[in-house]
Amino acid sequence: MNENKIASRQAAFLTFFLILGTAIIYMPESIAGRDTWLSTLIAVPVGMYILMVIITLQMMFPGRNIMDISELVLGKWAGRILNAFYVWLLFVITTFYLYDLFILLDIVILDLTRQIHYSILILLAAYCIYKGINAVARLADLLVWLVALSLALGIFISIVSGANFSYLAPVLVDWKPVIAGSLYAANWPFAQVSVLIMYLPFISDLAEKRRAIYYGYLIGALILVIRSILVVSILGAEITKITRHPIYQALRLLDVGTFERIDMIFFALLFITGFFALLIWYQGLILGVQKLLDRAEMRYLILPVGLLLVVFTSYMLTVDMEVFARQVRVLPFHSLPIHILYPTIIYIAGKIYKKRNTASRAAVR
Amino acid sequence: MLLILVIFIALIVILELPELLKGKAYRDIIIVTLLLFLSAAYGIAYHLHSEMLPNPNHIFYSLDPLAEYFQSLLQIGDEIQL
Repeated sequence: MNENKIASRQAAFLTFFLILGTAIIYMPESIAGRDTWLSTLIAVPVGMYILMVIITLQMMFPGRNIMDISELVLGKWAGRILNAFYVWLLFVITTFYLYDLFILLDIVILDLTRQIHYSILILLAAYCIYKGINAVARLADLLVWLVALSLALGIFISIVSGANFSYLAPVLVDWKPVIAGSLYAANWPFAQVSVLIMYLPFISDLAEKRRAIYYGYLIGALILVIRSILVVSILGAEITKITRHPIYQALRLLDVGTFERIDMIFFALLFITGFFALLIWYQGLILGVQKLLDRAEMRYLILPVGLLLVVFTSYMLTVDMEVFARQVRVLPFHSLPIHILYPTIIYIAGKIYKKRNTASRAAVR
Repeated sequence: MLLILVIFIALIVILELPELLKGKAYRDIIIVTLLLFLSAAYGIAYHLHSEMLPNPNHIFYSLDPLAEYFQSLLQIGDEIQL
C-alpha cells in the first residue's frame, strides 16, 4: 500500500483507540453516579453526528483536506480564520492528552519530573509520526487485538469476581447529573472523533468501506458503556464520583484466586489507548499546522510543534486539582462548539457551493 | 526545562536543518525558527516562574462563569476528583 494511504479498516481501529483514549481511565461523566452508564449512552449520538458530517463532507470533496475545502467553499480569509480555530482546538486537546497521560504514569509508576515525562511521550509519538500515517495505522492494526483481548479479559474478571450490579439501582432517580455527565462525555471523548477529519483524505477505500469507521466508533462507545456499568458495580456510585482513575481503582480491587494486583496487567492496555489518542491528536495537529501555514512538507514541523506542546503543557497546566476540574467542567464550553460547528459550517457551505456549481454549469450548457 | 529546550533544539538542528538548507527552503526555516523562539520564550518564562507572557489558560478562566451557571442550573455538586 502507498506510504500515505490507509485502509478504512485501519481508520476504524484508530477511531476505536481514539474513543477509548484517556476517557476510559478518567471517566469524565462519573458525576452522574450510579447512572454514569446512562450519561455515556446519551453522549454517543454527538460523536456519531460529527462522524457522519465529516465522512459525508469528505465524500463530497474526495482526496481534499478539510482545510482546503474550507478555503474553497468559504473563501480564503473566512476559511483560514475558521481553520485557525480548529488548529487551536487541536493544540489545546493535545496538551490535555499529554497531561492526562503524564498524570497516569506519575501516579502509577514513575517518579520523574513532568517535563521529562512530557518529552519522553512526545519523542515517542514523534518517532511514530516520522514513520508516516501508514505506519501509525499499521501499529493500530497490530495492537488492536491485544487491546481487545485485554478488554475481554478485564470485563470477564470484573463480572466474575467483583461486580455487584445492585449498586446500579435505582435507575434515573435524578436526571440532572445525568444530563451534566452526558455533556462532559459528549465533549470527552465522543466529540473528539472530529480529529479524524485530518485523516480522511488518506483513506483509500472510504467510499466503499466507510461503514467500518462507524463500527469502530460504536464498538468503542459500547466498551465505554460497559466500563461505566462495571466500574460503578465494583466501586459504588460515591467512590466512583470522587476517584481520579475509577477504572484503575476498580481493577485494583479485583483478585483472581491467589493473583493480586492484576491492575498492573491492565495498565498496558490503559497506556496504549491513552498513547494512541495522544498520537492521533499530535499527528492531526501537525497536519493542521502544515495546512494552515500552506506548506508542502510536514516532516520538519514534527519536533518544533512537539517542543511547543511540552513547553505549553508545562506553562498552562500547572495545578493538578484545578486542571482536572477545568478539563471536565469548563472545557466542554470551549471545545464542544468547535468540534460540532467547524465541520457543520463547512458541510453547509460545501452543499451550497456544490449546488451553485451545478447550477452555473447547467446555465453554461 | 532548559535542558529539554536544548535537547529538542539540538535534535531539530541535527535532523531537520541540513535537509532544509540543502533544499533552500528558507520559508520553512523561518517557520521553524519562529516556533523555536516561541517555545524558548515560554520555556524560559516557565523556568523563571515568570507570569509576563500571556497564558492561554485565561481563555478557560473566562468560561468559568458559564460552567458554574450550568452546574447551578442542574444543581450538581462540586466534587473534586482525587
